[in-house]
Amino acid sequence: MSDSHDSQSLRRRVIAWFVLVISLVAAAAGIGWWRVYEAMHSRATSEAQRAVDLVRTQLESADTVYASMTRACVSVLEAEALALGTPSLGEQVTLQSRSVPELRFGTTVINERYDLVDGVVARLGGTATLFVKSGDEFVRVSTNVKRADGTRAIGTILDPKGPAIVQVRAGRSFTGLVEILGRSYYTHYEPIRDTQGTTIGVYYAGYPIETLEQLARALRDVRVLEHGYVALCNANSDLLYHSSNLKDNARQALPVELRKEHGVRFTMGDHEVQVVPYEPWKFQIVTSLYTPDLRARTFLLVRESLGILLVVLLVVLVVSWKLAGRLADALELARRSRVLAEEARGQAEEARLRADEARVVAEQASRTKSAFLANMSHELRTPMNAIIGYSEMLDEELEEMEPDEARADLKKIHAAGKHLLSLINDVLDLSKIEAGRMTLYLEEFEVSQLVEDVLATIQPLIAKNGNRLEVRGLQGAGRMRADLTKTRQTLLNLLSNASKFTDHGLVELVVDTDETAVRLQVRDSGIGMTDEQMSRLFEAFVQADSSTTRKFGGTGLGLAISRRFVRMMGGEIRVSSQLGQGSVFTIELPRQVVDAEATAVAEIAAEATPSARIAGHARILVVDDDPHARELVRRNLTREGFEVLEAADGATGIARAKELKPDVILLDVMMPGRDGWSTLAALKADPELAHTPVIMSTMLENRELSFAMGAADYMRKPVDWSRLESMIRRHTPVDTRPVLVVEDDPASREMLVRLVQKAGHTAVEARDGREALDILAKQRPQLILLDLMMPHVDGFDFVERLRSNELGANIPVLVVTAKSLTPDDLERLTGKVDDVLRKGSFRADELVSRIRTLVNPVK
Amino acid sequence: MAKILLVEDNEMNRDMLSRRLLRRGYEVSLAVDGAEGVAMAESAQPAVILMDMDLPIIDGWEATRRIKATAHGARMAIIGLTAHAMSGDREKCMAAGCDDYDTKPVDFARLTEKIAAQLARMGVPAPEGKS
Repeated sequence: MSDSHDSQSLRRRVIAWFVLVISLVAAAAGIGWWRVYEAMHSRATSEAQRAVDLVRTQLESADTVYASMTRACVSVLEAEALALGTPSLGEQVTLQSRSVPELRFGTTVINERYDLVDGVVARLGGTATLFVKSGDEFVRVSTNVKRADGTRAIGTILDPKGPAIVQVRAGRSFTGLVEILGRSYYTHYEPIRDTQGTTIGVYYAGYPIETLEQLARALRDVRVLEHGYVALCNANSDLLYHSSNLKDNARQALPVELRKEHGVRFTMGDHEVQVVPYEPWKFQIVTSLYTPDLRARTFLLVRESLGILLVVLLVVLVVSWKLAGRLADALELARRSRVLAEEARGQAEEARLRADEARVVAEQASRTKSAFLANMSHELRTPMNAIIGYSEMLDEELEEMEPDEARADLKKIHAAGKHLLSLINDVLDLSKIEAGRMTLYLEEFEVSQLVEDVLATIQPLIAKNGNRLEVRGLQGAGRMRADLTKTRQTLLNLLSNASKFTDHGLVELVVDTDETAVRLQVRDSGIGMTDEQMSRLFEAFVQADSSTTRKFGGTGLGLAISRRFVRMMGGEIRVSSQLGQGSVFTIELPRQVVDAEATAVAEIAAEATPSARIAGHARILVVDDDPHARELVRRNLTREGFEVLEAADGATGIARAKELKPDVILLDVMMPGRDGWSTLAALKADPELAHTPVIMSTMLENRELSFAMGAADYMRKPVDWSRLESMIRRHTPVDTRPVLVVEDDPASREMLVRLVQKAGHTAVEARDGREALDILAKQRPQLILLDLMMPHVDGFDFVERLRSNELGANIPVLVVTAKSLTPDDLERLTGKVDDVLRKGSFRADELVSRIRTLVNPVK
Repeated sequence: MAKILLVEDNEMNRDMLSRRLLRRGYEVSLAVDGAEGVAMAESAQPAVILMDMDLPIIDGWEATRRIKATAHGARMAIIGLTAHAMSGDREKCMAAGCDDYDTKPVDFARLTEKIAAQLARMGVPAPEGKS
């Protein structure tokens, strides 16, 4: 649960860290913005200041130039006037309806005489005027300054409010800018003194300030940042010169705003306007700062610097993210290993506990095994005791004994021997089950067939104790799928127990089936059991009473084996009983027994050509009067893949042989009525059956006689099953065609080839489907072992092509694959292959037996 | 006459052993379970008891203990017989009070030697049977 939790929290922490870092960066950016903005502002301010300084410098130099020009002009005027004579006032005259004294230099009256001023102006430009003092006023008497109507402005007075008049009245000269008749003039006024030093008039020279070309040019290109401008206005706030970026509307608005006298600073739209006066001229130097410029500049700067920072941050983020991932992985690993360590500790603890448990179980098992061995030893020794004892007695007493007496003892020896044999067989069965080596051979059969089969076998035993047998519910019992042999053996065991423990009573077999289950109930009216006896009933070597073996026979293993068989098939045996009243044993089996190991496989096999599989069994006819012996043969040979038919005597044997055409006949020598030898003779005399190999089974060494009589082989009892099996195989007609092994993995292929050889066949190998098809073009194998996952042509394609070809249609195919089959795969294979084995989940002997089942003997 | 009690539940073994002992000249009484064995030991007063250990009703060990607990019984020789040939069976027999022990299947010659030895110990003459 916390697996992902840790790494998530780590990632969260990384994210939190970044949020923190980024907010710090943002804060820094904010502060940076402000600082940069401030810096920008002051830079802009200083730019504006520089512009102001530039204007001021220009103005100052213009001032100097104008000052010297006007002084020079006045000096010339003065010099030329004084050249006429000393200045004095004459008589009062009327000038332009104003009464003024005459201004004289020597004798020359200057009033309305213009040669002097015109001469100076002609040489030096500008304007020149001579004023005469009249009372407190100074009146122009000679001038080239024009009125608006174009006439000389004589008779007009010096501006009584202007700056010049104060100086002049005090007898001092004045230099500076003056507004004259609505125009700015740079002027110089110099008093005209008479011989007493009294001011009687004024020399004047002035230049209109219209031609500050240099300043105009300079201003045109001056900018404050991008859009800030610089402008120069006169004392009237008229716009004189300005930067070329000053917009038209601002040109209109600026003088208006200036006249409103906002003070030194004010804002105009987005412009921060600063007004610096140029005092000498009363001009206004206007600078404007366009605030969007500031922001844009700031933004650019911040963006540039932050951009780099952000890139760096991003890189760091990515790297940290990766590192955090790795760190998380590392932490996760550490955590897991911690968890694993804890788990391991837990597991170790658990393992210790389990080991303890296992030890206890093992001890228990060991005790059980010891008890079992002790019991088995006891059970084996008891009949051995009888065999040895009686045979010794016979040896000792034979001469004195009556033949009947001796026969009675011999019969005891024989019975003990038989008991011993069945005991050994049961023990072997049981050990096979215990070792997990007992395999289920599932087949479909009629329940009624099974029951009738068992009844035929059990009848003599029922009759022996004078019991009656009733069968109920057999009608419509239907078919079931189970291991026929094991089901038979189990039912036989229950019925034989019932008849053993019942004397002159009733044994009932009740068949009860429904859709999913088949129940076979065996009831008897016998001695019954106590609860304690019932509880130990299914243990090996336990009979209800330890004396029962002596009294009733049996190995004491039957129920133990039966229960294991039934459980292997997914069923159960139940028992209920009352002492003295009888017992009820119930076998309950699923109607469709499934072998857990090969469920899907069995399905395919069932849908595949079933006739071919049955045809694959070699058919053995067992002729023996002893049902127990026949049962043993059936059990052992069915297991090896043979089809076993039975006959209880020689005559039946001959009839069944004619009817069923067995591949091999197994013939018991010792039979009542027609014995084995005469049966053999009859078989050999029949042209239809003369070629069927007959194996004689005898208690004694009858080799010569057997062969002389035409038997193919002979077999000593007790039967050595593996010998019998190989003997039968020797006499079963053998198909010499090879088995084709199609498998790309060399090791698996070699293993399969070896198993094919073990099954008694030759093998041809193909490394893939394509090679296999090439081989098929040349020869016809009797079986194909096929891997599914192969290069070039895989198993699925191979089967497809094989089945579409007329020649390949009937060759059985056994798929041996490690692939787990999907429903699609199954669909592709169904009806095309005969069986599927999963690699690794089957045992070698299982494969061998499947090969034997699938190969088609030539008949 | 040396009297032997054979306590054995298996019919074949009982039949066989008794016949062979009779043939050797012993007088043989039979019991088929432990309880009968205890009763017969009292009533038949045998010199030697051949006691199968694996008996119904009362097992051989218990029967041996009960017989040895009586005054008469204490003087009888009991030879335990068992088909259990596992180690420890002999000790179990001796602990229950058996005087000797043998395993099944019976080696008859060895068993008669053991019987003779017990009889000799008690001073009872062994019969002069056929060997």
